[in-house]
Amino acid sequence: MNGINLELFQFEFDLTWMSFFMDAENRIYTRYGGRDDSSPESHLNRNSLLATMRSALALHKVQDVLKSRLEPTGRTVRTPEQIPTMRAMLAKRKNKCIHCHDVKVASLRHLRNQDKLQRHMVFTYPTAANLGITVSPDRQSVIRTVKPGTPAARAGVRRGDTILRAEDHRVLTLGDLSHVLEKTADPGRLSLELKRNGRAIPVRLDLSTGWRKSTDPSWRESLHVVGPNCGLWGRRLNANERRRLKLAPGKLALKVTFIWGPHTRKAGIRVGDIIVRLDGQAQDMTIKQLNAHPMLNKAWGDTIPIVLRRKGRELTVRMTFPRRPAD
Amino acid sequence: MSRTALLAATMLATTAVPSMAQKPPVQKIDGLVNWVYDYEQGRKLARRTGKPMFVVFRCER
Repeated sequence: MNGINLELFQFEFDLTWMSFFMDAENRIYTRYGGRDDSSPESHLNRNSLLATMRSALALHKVQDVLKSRLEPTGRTVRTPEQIPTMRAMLAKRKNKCIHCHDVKVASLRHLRNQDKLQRHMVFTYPTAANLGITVSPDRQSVIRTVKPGTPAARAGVRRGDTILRAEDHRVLTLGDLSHVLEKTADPGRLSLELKRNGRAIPVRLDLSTGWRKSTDPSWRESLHVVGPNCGLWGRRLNANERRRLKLAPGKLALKVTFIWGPHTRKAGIRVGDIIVRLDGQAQDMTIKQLNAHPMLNKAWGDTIPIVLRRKGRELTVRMTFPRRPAD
Repeated sequence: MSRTALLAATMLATTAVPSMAQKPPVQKIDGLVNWVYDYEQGRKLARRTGKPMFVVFRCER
C-alpha cells in the first residue's frame, strides 16, 4: 500500500484481496472483493469475477461510472505514510512494506493515541450479513436468504430479489454494497431499490444501534488494537486427542503451541497446556476466536480465569492483561 | 472474454520502502496477464488505449 491514495482506494483493509474496475480518470465502475466472517474467499470466485469483468466492459463502453455522493473524487491525496502512527510501525519492520491491514491498524492506533478509539470502530465495511441477508457468491446482487427478524426481513426484502441500488448507488457486487454500508450510520437507515418479478421496488431498512457488528470478527487483523489478547498461539485438539483426554466434542480444547506474551507466562501457562475454559467461555473455538474474546470484551489491565488441562489434571490460572498496549 | 480487453494493474502490498519517499521494489507475478505495477503508468496506458483498468490490491500474509 506504499504511496497509495487512500482518498481514492477505500476498502476493507483487513482484507487480503480487493479490486476496482475504473477508467483513466480515477472513476470507478464497480468494486469486486469483500468477505464475510466465514472465509477470506467467501465471495471470490471465477464466475462472479468474469460476470463483473463483463459488466465493467459494458459500462466502460458507455462510460457509465459510479456517480453517487458516496463515490470518492480522488482529487485530494492521502497516503498510508501520512498516518502519524505508520512511521513508528515501519521503523520496527525489516521489510518496510505497508500491508493492507497496516492501514487500518495504523488508523486505529492513531485514534487510540488521541483517546478517540472506540471498540466498535474495528467493524468496518459491513456486508450483506449485517442486514440479515446473504447474497449469491456467483451473482452478488441476488439475495439468496433472508433471516427472519432482521432489518432486511422487517423491510420486506425477499429471497430472489435483486439489489439494483443502495442509497442511489449502483450495486453489482458485494464490494459495491459494502462500500455503501461503510458510509451508513450506526444507528441508521438504508434505502434499497430491489428488482422483483421485473419490477423495481423501493424498501427502507431501519438499522438499530450496533448493526455494523458481526458475529465472528476473529479474522480481522486489526482486532489487536482495540483490546488485549491472550499472548499465545495454539491448535484445536482433533477427535482422537479429545477422546483420549475425555474432552467432549463441541467444547473448548485448544493446545498451547507458542507463547509470546509476558502476561501469559506470568499467569503460569505453558506450551502443551490445553485450554478448556477461558473467562467462563467453554464452547469450541479456534485460536483466533479465543484471542478475539478478550480483544472484544476485556479492557487492558483486566484479569480473567483460564482453566487448563496439564498432565491429566485440571487447574485454574488467572491472567492479568498488560495495563497498556505494548506498541 | 478477450484477454486484452482490460488493463490489469496490481498493487502488491508486500514490497519494501526504506524511507517514506521511496517506492518499494516490485514483486512481479507470474502468469499470462501483463500486469502494470504502477497506478499512474496504468492510467496513462488506459488513456492511450481507451481501455478500462482492473486494479487489484493483494497482500501476502
